[in-house]
Amino acid sequence: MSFIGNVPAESYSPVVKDTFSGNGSTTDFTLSIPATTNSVEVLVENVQQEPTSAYTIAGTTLSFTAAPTSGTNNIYVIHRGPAVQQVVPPAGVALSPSTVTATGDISTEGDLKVEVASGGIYTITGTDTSSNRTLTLPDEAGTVLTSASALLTPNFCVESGSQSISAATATKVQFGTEIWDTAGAFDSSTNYRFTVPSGQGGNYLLYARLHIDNVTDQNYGEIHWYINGSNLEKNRARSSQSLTQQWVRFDSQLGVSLSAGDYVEVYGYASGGGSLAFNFGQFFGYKLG
Amino acid sequence: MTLYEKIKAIHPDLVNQDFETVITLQNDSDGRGDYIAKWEHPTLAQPTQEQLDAVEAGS
Repeated sequence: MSFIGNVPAESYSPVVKDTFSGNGSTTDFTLSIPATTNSVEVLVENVQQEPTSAYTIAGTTLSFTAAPTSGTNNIYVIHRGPAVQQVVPPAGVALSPSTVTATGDISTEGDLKVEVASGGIYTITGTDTSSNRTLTLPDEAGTVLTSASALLTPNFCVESGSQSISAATATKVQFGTEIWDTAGAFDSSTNYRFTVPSGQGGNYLLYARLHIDNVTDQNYGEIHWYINGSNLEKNRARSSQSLTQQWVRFDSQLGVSLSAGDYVEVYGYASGGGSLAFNFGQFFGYKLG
Repeated sequence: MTLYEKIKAIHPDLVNQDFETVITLQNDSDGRGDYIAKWEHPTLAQPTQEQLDAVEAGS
């Protein structure tokens, strides 16, 4: 028989059964769905109980007037009330609930797309693989990830040019050319230092490379790390001058825990030579976490 | 004449290691030039400014 209108969605009305174990003292049990006293059948030890006199129901709480005896799964409740109808919408039908709450996992074989208020759509997708992968967010309060580019930031990279120095004198390298500086944390014009921005304290990995011209035989060059104006003497890096050249070029890495406001400077040192000069210096660093 | 050269002229016995351990000459690249940041030599006294100036005047 034909009719005018939408084809009804397929539906079914599953009968819900709750099972409990009595212990001789507990009188209240929590149902999986709300019910009323007369909308369920309650059986204890397979003996049906009389509504109201043996039990009552308020919402999801089933209350016996006397505690059922002990037994494993010796109490069960069959919901005979209004059908708990589940509708399976046809494919291609867009649902528009204001909120969706799920007590289990949500799975999709397609991409997961989230439309934000301004209309943009964020798509969670992955590379084509048959292996399962898991994205686990850290257990931290507040926003834990604002941008993928936020990883390893702040970071910077600066370089130095030619700079005359005196022998046996630790001299701050004038890193005056910024290659990049994500947080504007490097002063490349006055103090030639990296200062940890507010809120960016943490563990940092720093690197410095230095070239010193005219280091004479038997002398050497060094990189000195200064934190807040103090020379970290144990972290010096040294390169000895060879007999075939009149310069040294070497590098140093430093892992250090820094707080907001701490500043880092790189000094170079040559034990001896004539017309000593820095050249081709580079200094970069980034926050590990 | 650098500060290092003046100090070496006053104390010729100083060696490279002294300037790595008990003496620190420093330049903060702030326009003030070289200066003695640390002098902890066990036997030799830190040169006075007059001594340093005299070395330069006599060179």
